Amino acid sequence: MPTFYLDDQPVDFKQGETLLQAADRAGIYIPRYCYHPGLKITAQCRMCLVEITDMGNGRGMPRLQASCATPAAENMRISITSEKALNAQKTVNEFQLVNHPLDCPICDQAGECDLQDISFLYGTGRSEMNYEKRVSGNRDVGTFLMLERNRCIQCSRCERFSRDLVGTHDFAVFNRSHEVSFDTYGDHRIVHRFQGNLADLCPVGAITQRDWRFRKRAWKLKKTPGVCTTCSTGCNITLDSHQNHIYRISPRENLQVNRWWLCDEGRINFRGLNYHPGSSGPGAGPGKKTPRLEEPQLKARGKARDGGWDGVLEALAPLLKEVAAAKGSVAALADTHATNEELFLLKTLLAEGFGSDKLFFPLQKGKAELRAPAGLEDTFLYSLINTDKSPNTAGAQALGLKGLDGPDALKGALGGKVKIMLVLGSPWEDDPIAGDISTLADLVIYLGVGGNAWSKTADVVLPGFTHAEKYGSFVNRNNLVQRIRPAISPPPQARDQVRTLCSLLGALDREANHADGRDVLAALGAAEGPFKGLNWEALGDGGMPLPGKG
Amino acid sequence: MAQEKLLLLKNIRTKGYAADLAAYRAAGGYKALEKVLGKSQGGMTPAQVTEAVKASGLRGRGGAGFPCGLKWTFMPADPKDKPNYLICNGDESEPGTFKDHYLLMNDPHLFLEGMILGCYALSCHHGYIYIRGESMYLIHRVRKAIDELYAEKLLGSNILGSGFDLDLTVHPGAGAYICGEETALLDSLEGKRGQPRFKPPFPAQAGFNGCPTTVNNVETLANVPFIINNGPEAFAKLGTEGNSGTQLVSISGHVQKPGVYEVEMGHNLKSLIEDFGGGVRGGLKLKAIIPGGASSPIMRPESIDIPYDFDSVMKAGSMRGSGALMVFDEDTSIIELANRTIRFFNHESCGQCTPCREGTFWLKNLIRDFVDNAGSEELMQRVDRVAGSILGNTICAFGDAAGAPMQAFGRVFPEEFRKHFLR
Amino acid sequence: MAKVAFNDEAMREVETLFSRYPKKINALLPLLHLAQRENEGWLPPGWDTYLAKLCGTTVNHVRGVVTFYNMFRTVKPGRHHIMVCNCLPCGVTGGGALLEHLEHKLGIHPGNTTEDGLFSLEEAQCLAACDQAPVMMVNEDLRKKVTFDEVDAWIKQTRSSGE
Repeated sequence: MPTFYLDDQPVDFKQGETLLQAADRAGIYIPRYCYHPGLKITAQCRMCLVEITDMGNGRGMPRLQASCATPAAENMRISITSEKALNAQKTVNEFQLVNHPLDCPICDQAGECDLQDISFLYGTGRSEMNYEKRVSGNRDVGTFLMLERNRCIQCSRCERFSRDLVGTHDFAVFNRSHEVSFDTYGDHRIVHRFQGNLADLCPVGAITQRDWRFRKRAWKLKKTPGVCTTCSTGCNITLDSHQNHIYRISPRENLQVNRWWLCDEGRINFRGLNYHPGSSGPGAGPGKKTPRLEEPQLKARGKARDGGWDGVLEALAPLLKEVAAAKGSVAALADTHATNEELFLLKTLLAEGFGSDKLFFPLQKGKAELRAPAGLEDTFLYSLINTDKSPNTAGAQALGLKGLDGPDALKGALGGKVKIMLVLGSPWEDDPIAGDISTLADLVIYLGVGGNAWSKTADVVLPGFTHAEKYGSFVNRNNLVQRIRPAISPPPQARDQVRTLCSLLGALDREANHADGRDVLAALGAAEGPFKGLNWEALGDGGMPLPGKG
Repeated sequence: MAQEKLLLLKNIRTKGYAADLAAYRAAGGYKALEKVLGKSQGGMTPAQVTEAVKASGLRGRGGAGFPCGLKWTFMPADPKDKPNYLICNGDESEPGTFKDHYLLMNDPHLFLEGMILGCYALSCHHGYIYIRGESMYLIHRVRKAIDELYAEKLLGSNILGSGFDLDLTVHPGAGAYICGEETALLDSLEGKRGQPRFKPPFPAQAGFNGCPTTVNNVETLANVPFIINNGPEAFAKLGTEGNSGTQLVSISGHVQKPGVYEVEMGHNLKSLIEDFGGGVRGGLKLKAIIPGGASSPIMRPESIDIPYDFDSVMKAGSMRGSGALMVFDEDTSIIELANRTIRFFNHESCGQCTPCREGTFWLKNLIRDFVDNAGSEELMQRVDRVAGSILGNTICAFGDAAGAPMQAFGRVFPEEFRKHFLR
Repeated sequence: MAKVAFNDEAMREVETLFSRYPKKINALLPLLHLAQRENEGWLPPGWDTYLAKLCGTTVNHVRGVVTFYNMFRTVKPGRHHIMVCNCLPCGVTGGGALLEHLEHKLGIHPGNTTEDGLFSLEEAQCLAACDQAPVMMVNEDLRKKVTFDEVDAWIKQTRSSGE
């Protein structure tokens, strides 16, 4: 690999890479505002100026150069700490602040603001600009966004995203000189489904998400890496929480999956993850409030019996044993929000406990939901949102579950009334089948997190964890295995689905004692099968291809 | 008494010159084109034309003074996948500069002949002439001259039976000084906001619509017919070492006879003001000059007894720029000049780069304090520091164009700033 | 409201313009000039969208261009749009005084239009006629070495004729 020298330190670069890109890969930070790896380079903020003392041919360059736009060359020597470079960083940053309101105490970006961070590192700490600053007020620019124009530092990231990646170009640049404004035109409000990315891209607090404004100081947040569950793409996310409350979901860089982006559905998903006793639960989006399942229940002829987990499991065990001994027919229906680990244990329960292979899931046909506007060069963003609205269809398929097109197919596949029906998650929860299930099964056991038609009709209700509360893994539509971990703790009476399934196996005298999803994955990885060789630690935060499929 | 040296203004200085195609031809016009494209004299290859321009030592007259022939050699000699373009920069918006307007208005064919030769040298088959939109009268003038050429088959296909095809189009700007910067001009020509591009890639690699492009000034191209007709030696003989040929100088401000004058490169600066400009008007004394348009640093009268060419003026701490000589008499307020200069640059900044966008805004406010007699030593130093911080830190040369003169006002005339201190 | 589209004659000019450039979008500046010429010197609402469609670009691209250049207006100018050069050499040799004189005479500041819609005033940056100072441009007509008397007479005459 060719090499250049940054303050005498060798830095390898790939042909065509710019100085800043190569430095980034080498872990050397050069300050920048306008540069973003996912956007076209404009070199306009001038924060990344470096001194080039040798272009690789023995000659230096008289002017400082923007390192984001200058191609690296063999044996080039550059400096970001020379007097000239330091002075440029100091003065350019001073210019950035000339018209910035410095309203950090009330700014939602505070704590994760590039302008704050870079000013802290490179700024002078005092201001000599004692004239009135430019004032242009706040604007409602989108269904998801607010714009505080005074804070804008004109880096143009928003315009480039909206023009080159979304193609709607509704965020654009108008006017010129110090009146340059990045804004929507007139009273236009953005309606596309990638708005949140504009707030992420904004290096300051000019563009903010409505959901996030005035909710929490950024530095208080605990950041938990996770995977988005709103579709089969499996975008990498960070769950931002504080005191057991999730305030925000942001994209996490993964060049194989979502690059730097996340759709707004994925962001809104946090709303349903917060547990307030009796108030909301998964699936509790706007206008659809369903309570979180809090207590295990065993209902007998319409009456709920309260006995806590021990009481319910104790009462359930003889029923299971009876059916197993009589070789009665047992089936299971799981939705593909379930982790691989849960599906695996469910499969084990059916096969080993009841000798059944009637394990089904609702199959959602996956394809890109959106079509990119004509003429857009980079259509990647439009491939993100998939019509398969579950994160683990590929995992269910790898584990050999049978995908069914609809409830009617299930009726056919069951081949008559079964003794026990296990339901995991919320498959076809809006379909009448959930209400009619008693015509298909004598006993319905439901493992889920939110109250729905299943939890109402089931004979046994066993409350579980959401994907923000447990360990586990999903396989996305490109057969990448990705892991999740708890960001917040679950309601006191809920129990990890993995533990519950272990208990059911235990009721049938099968040895199964996994502490959480990590244990199960280790067992899965140790055995022959689609997950051979994998374990939770090895997946890392970037995921690994499904063995044999990748 | 010094005389003009007439290469470009020869026709214009002839009484009764009609400036149409017939008149231009009668005065010996389009002979260079005949020499290059016609069969009678054997013709010249594009490379030969480029070589001649290179040998002549012609430097760009737009402001930067880059050797024209050398610039042409950066272009692909044999364009295959993408067409080559020659764009003429007739934007001329620098305060104090009006020589291109003068030349185009009064002898458009001289320029057009140079433009056609340039296009031939660069194997360009569609050339664009960018003229600022405010000057609609000039756009109409040049379009009319181009129509004459089409009518006489000096434009279009197979010019003079040479097999060389060429179209020329006049493109109107719309009021943005920054479009005089060559890459901003290209963006403007493409139908975009005129924002300078970072380099590399240079226009010769990726210019107009991503194709190899050369941008030349009007006056630069107008010199080409002379070079072809009389040989590069005849041109190189004129002027000073490294600054060959003649130059058009726009003299304005407090002189008796403002206007465009043609002199050899290296003509004495003082003589330009006195012999051609007729000296300061109203019997007043000379206070200051700005030698190369609003973007060049101001000079005191005692430092102007120098040759007027790119290198000498630079040595004297300023710039020859586009040859715009502005003369100011003793009653002029330097603060007023500084104020007008920074108002201009603040208004015309494209707003892309931080130092220029915010720096010109800040400087405008600082100078305003002096205009209001609220200056101080500290503010004076701040003007110098802020202007210096813009210098060299932007994508294009506009940052330098705004920073350098603003630094110079305070450095050359500190006593004038002190007059405006808060008392 | 007037129709937002070029008439047949202007459309022929549009076709000619398109034929002079490799891409339609390249013709945006001349098209905007043409649209202003057809609309009394400005771009009434809707023309940005119309031209964007015509050139195959986004509306906001057109709006970005319109707001970048001084000459494109989204507010109707006076019948006589006056630009007075007030930059360096012109400003100190009569341009500044001329602008001030016009402000008093017309009763408006630069950027505004008189109530009768006859005049609008703009402070211009260099009109490339520095040797002819003071200069002003009235619509497309450049007036050189302007004197106050001349200006007064012209304003008076224009006002009395009402056009």
